[in-house]
Amino acid sequence: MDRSEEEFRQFVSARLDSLRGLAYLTCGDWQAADDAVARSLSRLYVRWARVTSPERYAARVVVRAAIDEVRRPWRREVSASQAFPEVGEPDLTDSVAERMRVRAALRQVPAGQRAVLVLRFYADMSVEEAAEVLGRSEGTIKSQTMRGLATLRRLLATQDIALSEALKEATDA
Amino acid sequence: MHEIRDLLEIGKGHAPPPPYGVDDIIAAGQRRRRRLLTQRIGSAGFVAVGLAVSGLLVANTAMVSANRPVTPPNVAPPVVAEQPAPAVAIAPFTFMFDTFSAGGFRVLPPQVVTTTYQDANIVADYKDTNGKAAISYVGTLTVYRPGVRPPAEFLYGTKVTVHGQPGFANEHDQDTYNYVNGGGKFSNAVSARANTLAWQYGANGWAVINSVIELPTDLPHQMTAADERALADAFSLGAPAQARIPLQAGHLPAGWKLASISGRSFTTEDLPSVTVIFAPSSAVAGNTVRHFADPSDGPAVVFTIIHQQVPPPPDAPKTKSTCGYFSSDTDLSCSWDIPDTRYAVVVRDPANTLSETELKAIGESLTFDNLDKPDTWHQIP
Repeated sequence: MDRSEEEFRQFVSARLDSLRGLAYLTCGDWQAADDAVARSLSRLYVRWARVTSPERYAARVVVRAAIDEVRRPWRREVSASQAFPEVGEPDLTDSVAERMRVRAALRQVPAGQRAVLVLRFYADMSVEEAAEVLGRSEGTIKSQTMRGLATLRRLLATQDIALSEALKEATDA
Repeated sequence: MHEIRDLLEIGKGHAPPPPYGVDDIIAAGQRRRRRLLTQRIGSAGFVAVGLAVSGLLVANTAMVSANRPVTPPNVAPPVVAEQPAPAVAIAPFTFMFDTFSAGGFRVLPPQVVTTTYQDANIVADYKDTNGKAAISYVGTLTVYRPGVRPPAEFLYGTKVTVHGQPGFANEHDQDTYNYVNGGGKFSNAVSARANTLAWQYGANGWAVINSVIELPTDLPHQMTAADERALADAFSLGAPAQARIPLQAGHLPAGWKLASISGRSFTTEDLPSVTVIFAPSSAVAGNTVRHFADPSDGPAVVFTIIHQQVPPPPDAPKTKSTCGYFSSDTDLSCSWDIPDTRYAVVVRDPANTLSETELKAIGESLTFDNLDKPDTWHQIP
């Protein structure tokens, strides 16, 4: 095994969980998320020696692949058991029920806005970084962040979940 | 009151175990690399990468057309023929020789044919570590049509005669791309030592054998200058065989013509793909050697048909394309599963002159012959 392959192995071992989470929150389906991550990392493997910022590159291709996954017609037709549910399931423990309600709200946030929220607040990216990852302008990222937060706040409110007001400041970052 | 980061974590919940591990991802990456190499090299009009019977990538050739000497040499004046050169005529897109052997090396049937040249791989047969028969790619034989002059870097060195006709033998450094040796070791854009033997096989017609003899990585099989000479002595033109193509393009930019064909079936021990390239007629005409898959060769559209190990899901859309910059940041390509087959076609625009809309329109206009029956493919008129 050469050095670059060993580095790639270490990178994947260290980042796999966070990339899967990133993909899942973007597309809302674990099966699609795993497909997106596997496809993206195999691409990264080919380009490993030429990629100067593998974290950024991996995030970009994973998010884009996750968005593509949910756009595939056969994905839309499949009712995946591990996808975001249509509605919450109230007869579970509090934490599980809360998770279901959060997922239900997330599922209703438009995919573009959801991707921005995930990059900004889950992957801790700046406006500039999210713009580069999604191939959009910084202004678009800011407006999508604002709209996404507003949408999510409204959806969560219907589920009796409150989102911190302090987040308003994040839209200006 | 929740912070959004916490909410996203809550929404993510407990992830199910991943359906793959790091080894699976690396294996997928290696398969992708092989596929890209096949596409890139096949589409480039080179005879280049081969797959061993085991499925491992075993080797790539010296790639006459792909490799460029690091230091361009001075071109020597041609030597005088010992006897009159036989007149030969080779039509465009016509294969003019078949497999033959000399010493421990074998020239496979030519796979690449254009209006100016045809290319064949040279291999060494060996047994792999499991005792299984395998081939290692060691070089290429390129036969240029009469009137077409090979690149100047091949026409210098020690003057020789082959079958009484003039030629040159030289050893030089060249940049080697996408080279995978017999041990499966991949290297790209490295400087390699290579042997070249160029000779006139007929009046105004040149043939060139090129082989890598020294790499920074291991090189388990290699030819010597004497081996190249033995192959040249064994070379002869045979009966012409017109090339065939398995696809027809209903829509192309105005004035574009067939420029290059690479691959003759999907079941040979050589290239496991078929690539057809169209280019502006002005680029196809004349005696300038072009490979068309390099941006420097100008506009071209490259169709590569590959056999998919895993067929698309039965509910996959029949006509949906996937477009993106898969092998480089500037090389846009779109791919389609070919309906009711285990084949897919990749459409590329190496020079990046066509829009994605145009590329899709071209790809969607394709019709295919029975890919499993090469004898039924369209003959080049």
